[in-house]
Amino acid sequence: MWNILRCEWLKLHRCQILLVGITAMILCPVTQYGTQLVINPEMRDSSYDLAQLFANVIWGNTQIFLPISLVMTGGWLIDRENTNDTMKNNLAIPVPYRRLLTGKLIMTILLALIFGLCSGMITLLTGIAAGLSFPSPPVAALLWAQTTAAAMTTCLVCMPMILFFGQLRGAYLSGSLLAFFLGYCILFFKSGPLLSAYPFSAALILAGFDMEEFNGAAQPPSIPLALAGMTAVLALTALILLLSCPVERNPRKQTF
Amino acid sequence: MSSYIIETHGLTRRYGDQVSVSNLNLHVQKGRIYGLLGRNGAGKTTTMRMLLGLTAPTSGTIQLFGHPFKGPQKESLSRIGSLIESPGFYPNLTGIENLNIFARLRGLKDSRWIKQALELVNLPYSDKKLYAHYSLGMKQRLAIALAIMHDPELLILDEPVNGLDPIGIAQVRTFIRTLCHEKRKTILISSHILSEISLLADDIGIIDHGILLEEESLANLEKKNTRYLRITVSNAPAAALLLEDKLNAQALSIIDGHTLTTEDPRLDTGEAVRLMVEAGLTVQDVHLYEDTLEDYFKKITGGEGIA
Repeated sequence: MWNILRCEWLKLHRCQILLVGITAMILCPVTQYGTQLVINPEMRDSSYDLAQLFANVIWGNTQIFLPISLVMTGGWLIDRENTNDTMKNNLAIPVPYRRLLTGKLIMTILLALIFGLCSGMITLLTGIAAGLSFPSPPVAALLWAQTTAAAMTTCLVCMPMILFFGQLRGAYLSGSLLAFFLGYCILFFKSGPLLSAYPFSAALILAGFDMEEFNGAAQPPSIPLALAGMTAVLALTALILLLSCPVERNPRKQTF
Repeated sequence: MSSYIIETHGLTRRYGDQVSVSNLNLHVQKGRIYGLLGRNGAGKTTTMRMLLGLTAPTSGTIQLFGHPFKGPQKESLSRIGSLIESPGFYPNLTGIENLNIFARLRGLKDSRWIKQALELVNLPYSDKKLYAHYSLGMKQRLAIALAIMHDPELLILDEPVNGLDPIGIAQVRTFIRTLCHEKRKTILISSHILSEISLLADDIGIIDHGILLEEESLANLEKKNTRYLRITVSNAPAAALLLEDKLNAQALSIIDGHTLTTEDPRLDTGEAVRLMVEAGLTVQDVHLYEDTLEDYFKKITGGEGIA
């Protein structure tokens, strides 16, 4: 597996699709802070500080930016093996198909980690540039860590979509659209079991994000329900992985 | 243990109602070049994909290196190098970066293997050009380098000269011969180009519509080929009588008043011409015709030639 992961890392060299994630991570804090600037001055929160910017960014990342970019990037990592016709080279070594997919999922989690760290850093820089009041360094570090943790738990939620759409030739873009839609739906679950069990909500809750304070949730989140939601996603990922097999093409040349 | 490196029994692959390969019994001997000859879509690639575990057979068995092959197994596949269909590499990487990835996955730690493979196919080791900018010929060479990089005992090459220029084709041909005859590699090569197969292969399998119609050594095929003498003369019936009477020529056919043919292998051409001239006949042309592999292919498949 270590060899597969090393190779997956090498394959990313000069890959422009990574810019999608990086751009999304830059856009999120900028747009979140920008939103504060465009609202009416009387509606503006005068106590808006770096902690609130971080909360906005974590929310925006999980709701919109990360689902789109992670499903797109992860799906593309799988899809490219068929598009570039390199799958046959891997399978003829042989690299077991499921192990290759697992390697790609782990690589996507690693990318989520990088995106999370990147997002935390850009949020910090945006806050400093905007002159927002700065919390103590340990609190800032904690917020940064929470941003990174939320990116990784969001990636776990996206894994079934990455696996499913990545294996359908050219469908990873559709997958990222679905991920965007499902991520956006987090807004609608402010109470009841889905407040905690809905996978994208669970991703935030498990990262320690305060749903009550930020989302206007009507009740406190339940960690066991969030764990159950995440477990369901991981079980679905494992099931898709178990059912996955290389696409066998019917040779197009043959007509008899 | 079987003396064959590859042996299949009743190998069949169906896609729904469509039969791609039907009841194929292939025998590839150690240290020889086996040419699988067939038109596009005859089932060559599907056969090769089954031999590599890339496609599961619908029925039938495969033996590789004398052992049953049941799907992708490291023990067998690490001894095989392959090029199936078109070359497949990562376009954002250079040729050497691509080879490095597959070398690492194969567990090859020494970059010497990559260097040697690139030298053998005449690609520069230190080239910084991305694979996306490679010409078709360079891509094909890189794919061959990938196939030979780990020094395999068996090479399975599907149309390896596709996209190469004439000099490149000649180089690959020489290179394949060297691999087989000097390094004792066994090579299964497929092509729809008859001349390539006839120049390279020791043994030939003719596949058509998924069925292996003939499997024979090139030497035996040459023996089987029809050879006949065609004589253009002023009076063909008189010449036929003369040759039958004086030289006991067999299998004579009078095509028209001036042309006759004989498939008699014992007929002494010089003596025949001398007799006809002495009998006052004007001999305009004597030509020995021999079936080419293409003629043989046409005869076997009952259809048109392929290239």
